[in-house]
Amino acid sequence: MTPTLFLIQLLNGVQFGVLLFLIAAGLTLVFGVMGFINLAHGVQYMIGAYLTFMFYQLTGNFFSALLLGLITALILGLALEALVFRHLYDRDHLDQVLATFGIILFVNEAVKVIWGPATLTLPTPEILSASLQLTDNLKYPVYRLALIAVGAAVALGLYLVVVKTRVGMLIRAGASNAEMVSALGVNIRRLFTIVFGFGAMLAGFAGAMAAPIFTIEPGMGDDLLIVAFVVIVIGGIGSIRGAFIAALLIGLIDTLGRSLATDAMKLIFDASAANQIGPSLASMLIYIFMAAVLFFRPQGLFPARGAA
Amino acid sequence: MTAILTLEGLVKNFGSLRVTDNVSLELRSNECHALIGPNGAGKSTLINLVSGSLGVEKGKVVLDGTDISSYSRPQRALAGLGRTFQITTIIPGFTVLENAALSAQAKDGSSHRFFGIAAAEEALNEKARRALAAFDLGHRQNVRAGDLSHGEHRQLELAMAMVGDPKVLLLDEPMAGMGMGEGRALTETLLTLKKSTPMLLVEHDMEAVFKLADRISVLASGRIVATGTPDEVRADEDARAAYLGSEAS
Amino acid sequence: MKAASVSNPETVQQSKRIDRALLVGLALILLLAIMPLLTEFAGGNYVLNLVMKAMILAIAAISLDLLIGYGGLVSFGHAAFLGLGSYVTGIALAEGTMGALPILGMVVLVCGLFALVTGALSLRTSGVYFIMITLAFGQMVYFFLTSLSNYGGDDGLTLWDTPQLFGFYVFQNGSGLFYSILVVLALTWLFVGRLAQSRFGRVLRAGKASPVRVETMGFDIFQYRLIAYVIAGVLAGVAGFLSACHAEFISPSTATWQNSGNLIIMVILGGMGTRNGALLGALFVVLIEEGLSLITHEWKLIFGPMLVLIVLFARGGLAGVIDRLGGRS
Repeated sequence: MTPTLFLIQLLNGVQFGVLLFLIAAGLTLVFGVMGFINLAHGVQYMIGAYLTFMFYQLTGNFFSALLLGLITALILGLALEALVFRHLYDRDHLDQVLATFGIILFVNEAVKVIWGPATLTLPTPEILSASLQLTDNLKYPVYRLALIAVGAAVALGLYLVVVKTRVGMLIRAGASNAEMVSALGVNIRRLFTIVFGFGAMLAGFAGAMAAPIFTIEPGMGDDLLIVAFVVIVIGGIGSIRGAFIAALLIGLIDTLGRSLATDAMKLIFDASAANQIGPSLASMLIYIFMAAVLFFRPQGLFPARGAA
Repeated sequence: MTAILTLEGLVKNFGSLRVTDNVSLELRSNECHALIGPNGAGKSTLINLVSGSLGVEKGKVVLDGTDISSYSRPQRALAGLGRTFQITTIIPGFTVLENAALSAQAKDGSSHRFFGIAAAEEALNEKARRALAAFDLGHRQNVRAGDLSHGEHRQLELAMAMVGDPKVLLLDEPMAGMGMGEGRALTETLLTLKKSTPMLLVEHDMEAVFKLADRISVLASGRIVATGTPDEVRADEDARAAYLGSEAS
Repeated sequence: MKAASVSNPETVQQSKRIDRALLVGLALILLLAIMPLLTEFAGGNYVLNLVMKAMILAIAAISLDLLIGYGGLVSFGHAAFLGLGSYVTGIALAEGTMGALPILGMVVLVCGLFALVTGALSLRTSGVYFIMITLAFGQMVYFFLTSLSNYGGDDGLTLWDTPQLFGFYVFQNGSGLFYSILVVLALTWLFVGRLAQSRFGRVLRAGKASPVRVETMGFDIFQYRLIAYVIAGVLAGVAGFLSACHAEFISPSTATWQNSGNLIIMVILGGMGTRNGALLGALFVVLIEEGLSLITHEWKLIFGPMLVLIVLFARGGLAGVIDRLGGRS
């Protein structure tokens, strides 16, 4: 692999990591603060993409579509919370898994009915459609760089909110000890609603931002959701910092693994065997990584709960 | 008197906090040895170090001549350590009888039996019934354990510990959460029990401690500051300072 | 003794309830046994195939219930064993091993070993982390299967042969396969039911409520959980073997996390940790899916909200409902 290609893969890895972080941030807070396993979080990502697509068709402008999409995603997230999730916080994890699985089935099918089963594409916004000459022979799409920048900005903003503000303090306290927070007389339900709505919006934002890069299709959030779970488990449930670092790690491992694994295997095996093993190893890499992390640190890299 | 349980120089740190600081202690056969001290003195930690809930960092736990420091919790239980918990732990969904029978099962050959119906093993049930009767639970044996009163939970826990015929009984605040009457009754039960089984007792209820204990060790900030008979400890200045002083603050 | 006479009625009532569950289960299996006759009159092969599919999933669901219902171990990667079992079968057939017994032996070995290794790793964690790590191992298997390009990769592989038992094609689609599945199902149901009540099962169930207490008694709960995990994995692997024979096709999609989720749904809907829960749940889910898809192509629009409503309003699952109907007297 040439250095140029490596650099491109590195950037792609960071960009995937940033995307993962946007999804994982809401997931880890909802999980950490409320102890709530929300399998339907991936659905929010898909909704974000579809809504942006829909509003783009109406307005013809990516940015207004993005804004409208975000607002609608937020409203939908809050509606789901009020209708279903709110009643599940006190239930055990199995009930949560079951109910949110039901929501996945419903929303995926609903999306199929409304927009059809075929994949859709959203054009890259005009302003960001150029490519940037990074080195002599390396061009990289501006949109992807913008995605990285926006993701990093959101991560920083989120970090500041969680570390500096009162709401953030309550969130952190809630992640390590929910009973204590409600004992302080804080309206824990409202805090939950805020966190949930915000998390849903971030996932929707990730979906919208990803729409011009990936294709839009029913169920597009399902597999990404699992990767996001891997991220928050590695990072330590409830930890924003952990989610950010783990998201970048996973983004890089997955992206670089896919392009390097076959070559690496060629060092050990003959070419045909390497062509077999490489891709299979690459797609398993993040799960192997997660198993390894949990083996040495069963609570993840940055546990928010029960720091003894 | 020979020692049945010996702790030698036990050390435990939580992060930078030393919660058990070079604790040595002897439990003689046929004695009830009480550990007292203010909250946070490290009493529960010490019990957990002995029972294996926490790993020993430095020092030794010797039970009846065998060094069990490296044993896991189940291994220590099989070696003869019975214990009760500060917060009662029983199997709430099982009947009272099944709770005790399960305890009997632990000491009765292999439990890797996959087909026979365990509840129908009368040998286990018989052992369990005897223990339940000793703790006044005979008439409650078919009740769901989760439906018992708090006092009965304590009795069941003791019965479960005694089914296994332990060499030493570790009691972590058995009086906690008990009403006056229940507490007195339990003290009487323990008085009978201590004739047959040496026990290490952590307890806040001083009335119970002075009634039950043959010797008392006073723990403060992870160290033992005094050991002696109840009268000696009552008279000991260090013990009073450590205990009453911290208690007041 | 006075005490005993007071408590006797309760014991009797309890054993009556177990007996009733046993009867319900036996009745279900009998009903399944005469399905080939019944479908002669209505439904034909279509219904019979559906019943076979449901029975295979029931085997996997019962094995999962051993973990979730009795052990309190929410495994979110159980479909991996279905996938492994079917792939071992398919690959063995493709490579020319035809004997059902050697193939089953390999299924047991592969699934057992995989369960042993991943179980030993997963059981170091608990709660949510256990759910997630089993999910991760499930995904690993899924991606591994998609990468087997010699055996169809993403698309799966059509099997041109079925395993033979002493030269007979008992696993060929038809009544031979039907009764093979039924026998395995009945044995699994019987075995797991007895296992739950055995010495081993009693430790496992107690460990679900309080691992600390069980360890304090002297049981190394990790060991018991690991054995349960291996048993469950092997049983699901055998279900995978049957599924390969039935579908005459193997596909990575057997091992998706959605399929693992489906198995969990069956266990919970049926009523976890009960004699017949997983069996009822599997039959119910397959039938309701099929029933709904007859009404509308978009049946998931109904099934999804149904799951949510069941979680919100009907607790204890089908077995609980039947128990309540059957006689609360």
